[in-house]
Amino acid sequence: MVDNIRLIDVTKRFGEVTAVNRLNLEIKQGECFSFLGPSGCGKTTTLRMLAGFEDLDEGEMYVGDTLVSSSVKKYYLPPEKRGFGMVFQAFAVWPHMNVYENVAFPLRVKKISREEVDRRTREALANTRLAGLERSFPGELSGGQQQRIALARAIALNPRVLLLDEPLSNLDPHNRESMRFEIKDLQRQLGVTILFVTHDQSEAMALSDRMLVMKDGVVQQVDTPVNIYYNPANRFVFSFIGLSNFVPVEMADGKVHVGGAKDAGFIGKQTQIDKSVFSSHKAVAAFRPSDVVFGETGSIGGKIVRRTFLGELVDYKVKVGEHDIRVQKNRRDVQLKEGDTCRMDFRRILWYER
Amino acid sequence: MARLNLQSSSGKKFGGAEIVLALSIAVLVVIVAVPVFMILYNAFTVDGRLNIGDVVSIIREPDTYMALRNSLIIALGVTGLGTFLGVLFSYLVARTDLPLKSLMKLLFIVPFMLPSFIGAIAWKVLLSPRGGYINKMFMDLFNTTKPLFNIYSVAGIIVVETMYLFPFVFMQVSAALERMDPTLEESARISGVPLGTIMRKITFPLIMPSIVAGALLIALYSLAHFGVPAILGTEIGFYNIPTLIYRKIHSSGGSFASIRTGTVLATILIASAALILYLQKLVLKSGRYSIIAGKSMRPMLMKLRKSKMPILILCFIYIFITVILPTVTIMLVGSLKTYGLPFELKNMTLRNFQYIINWRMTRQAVSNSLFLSLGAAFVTMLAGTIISYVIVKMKVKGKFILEFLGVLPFSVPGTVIALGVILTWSGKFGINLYNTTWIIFVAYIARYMAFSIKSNSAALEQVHDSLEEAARSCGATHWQSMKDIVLPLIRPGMVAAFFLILLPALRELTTSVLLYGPRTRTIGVAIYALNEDGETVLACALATFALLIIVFGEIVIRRILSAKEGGPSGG
Repeated sequence: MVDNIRLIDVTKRFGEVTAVNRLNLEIKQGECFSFLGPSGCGKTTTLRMLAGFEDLDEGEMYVGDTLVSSSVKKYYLPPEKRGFGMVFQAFAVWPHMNVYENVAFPLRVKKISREEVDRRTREALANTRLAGLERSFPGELSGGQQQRIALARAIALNPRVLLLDEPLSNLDPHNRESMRFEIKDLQRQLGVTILFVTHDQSEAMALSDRMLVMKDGVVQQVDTPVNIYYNPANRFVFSFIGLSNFVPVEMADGKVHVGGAKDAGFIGKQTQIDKSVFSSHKAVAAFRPSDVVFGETGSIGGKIVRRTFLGELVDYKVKVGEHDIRVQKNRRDVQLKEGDTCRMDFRRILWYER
Repeated sequence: MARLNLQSSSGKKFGGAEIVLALSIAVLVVIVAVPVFMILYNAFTVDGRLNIGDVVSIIREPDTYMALRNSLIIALGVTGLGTFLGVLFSYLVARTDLPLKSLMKLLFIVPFMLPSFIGAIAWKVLLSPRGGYINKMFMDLFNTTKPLFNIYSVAGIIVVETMYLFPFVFMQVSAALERMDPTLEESARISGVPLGTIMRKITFPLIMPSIVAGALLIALYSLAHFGVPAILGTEIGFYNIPTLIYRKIHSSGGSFASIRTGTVLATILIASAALILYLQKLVLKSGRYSIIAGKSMRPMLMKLRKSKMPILILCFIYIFITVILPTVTIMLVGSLKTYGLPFELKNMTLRNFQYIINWRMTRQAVSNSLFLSLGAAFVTMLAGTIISYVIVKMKVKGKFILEFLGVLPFSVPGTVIALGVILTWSGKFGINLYNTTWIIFVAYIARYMAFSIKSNSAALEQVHDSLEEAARSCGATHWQSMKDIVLPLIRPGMVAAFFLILLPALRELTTSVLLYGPRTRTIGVAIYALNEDGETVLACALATFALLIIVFGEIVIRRILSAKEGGPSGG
């Protein structure tokens, strides 16, 4: 039987606040799955319930056929018996043990031969590029190295499931980038199921096979990163993932223009319009800054009020009537300056109720 | 006086900073350094010449040697037992699902507020070998002449002292357990490590510095503790260093030989206290792992399951025995017609309290204590504020002398201060305060200066320099910025310092007992002397008053300190 993880109607309350509300989810074995959402959305609570650190108020959790948590049966398999590995945000490496001891300690506790403990410790250290630092103490190492100790400690146990609780958010941007790819490589190499909590969308996109977007304890969408990016289930998901413009629009004579700026032109015919979301001729058009196309024949006119050089990209603030539209283009593609007028089309627009 | 100096400072070149610094140093030198120096000087010299031989022969005298040994035995016993209890209870409160935890946490600190010598009197009443109420009941019940427990013993002294000193470890370790990052334990748990192993290999090694720091504080206090051994040990000829100093000086009426023996013993106390504080600093430095949690999370709690109720009951029994039983005993004995009568309503009277209120000696003791503690608290608070200001805020050369002198009183036990004050203020330098209230006043200032500096410095460090600089840049003078910006912000720290001095000073015994004269008894001295004279009932009646004042004071200080929370800030 494959060790799929199943969460059935999982609910958790802290006093008046419902941290997680009727969460149903199945995570496949070997999958890299991330929980994404703003802080306080219930993602860490979900992970901690799965680890066994929090009880459930309602629902059940299974790993394969094994019941690990159940509110009805008041049954909770203690964390130490779940066979998971876990990496915490604040590293949680033991400051009084050196690198080798940190990784070997959980192995020594089990009934494993001395040679086996040594072999697995060294293997885990090699896999996390810590070989040579065995005798160092965590206090002498950088944040990235400390987080590698935590990772080595978790994988040395050959866990069925690896739980990562914001493992990269205490690292500096440079380390974060490289650790992200290291974790991905490790996951491919070991074939372990990874559950990953983060509030950083690019982290989630880079790492996950599938991801879950959560808000106020309620699941918004579960899908692949690509689908979530291009087909967000609702306005929250669209705004939470990637950069976004939300522009109020109005309909006149079956054609759509930017709110209060009829003179600027009507949104081009090639863009499909979802008429169902319009109420009293009003709606919101949502699109990515990169989905705006500048061109002589563009359907909407505007004025460049700010141009910001970001390196490969150039960021424009374009004024249309009263509204600002953010546009990002490759620096080689556009030569517009501040104060220039421009015309725009939109590759893809999602329509929401005002 | 500081005010004048600061005002005059604004224009002149030799500014107020130097004058304030010089004055602060002068105060500390006169109040703290000279007495300590006088002890060392008198211990090692005779007629102005170095004399080590005498020191050695004094230490080799049987009763001084025994006192040293006894102090050490008591300190070791109290430290061991107190550390065990402190760690046990703090673990129960911080890391298990014991019910009523916040109440328990408060109750475990209560012994800290109660004067231990009053507790010792209560235990004498309950467990003295013949007359002790519990022993009598036991002997009647089992028809035996052997008492249940003889409180007049080394074991008795150790147990009673432990009851009052274990909160040192309890508070240190609870704080460490609460601050510790729970994921350090959780990461071990998810890795499959059993709970017992986590406790042994992760939790305890990480809180060890706090345990040792608390244990050393117990050792420091116990080594130089006067009250309990004086009440429970003197009866059987058992002396430790402070009680021996007291006996020597008291029985000889302050003769030179007795004072000299005293200075030698006091030197040993100073040295061991300095050693203990040094060790503590080392431990705290070496053990400064960053185990403090990044975000506040609830720590993992050990489920006590079936043993939850039994453990809770044991905790309540402990609190009953250490707090409620002695307090109730003092109150009941204070209302007995004659000491030794059984506790029955027909033997009770309120006349003792009436007597205490009307008796000149006790009235004088209460008014002396009130004057001394209020006065010393006020003066020490003000001096401490100025000295802390120099230490924390001013950029002047030579302030390291202040820093050193400021922490010196921490390592000087009460007995030593009393002895030093006698040597300094008995006319040797032209001022004779002996047998007046002022000698006790000076001693209290010396004894509690460290409290004031600590509390004020903590408050001042919270006030970021930029706040004062902003005021100065708006055109305020140094004095204006201090009066309008700094003082309002550190007022809570000053109030805290005032009460931190007031409450212990009200019940002070160790220092006053060496300094009091016929008309200058304090409450502590009066209770102690009444007990010594066999007036146990009156001693208990007065102790009841003292306890009421202390409890009232604690409630007031708690109110004030909790109201100030969220007070000082900046930067």
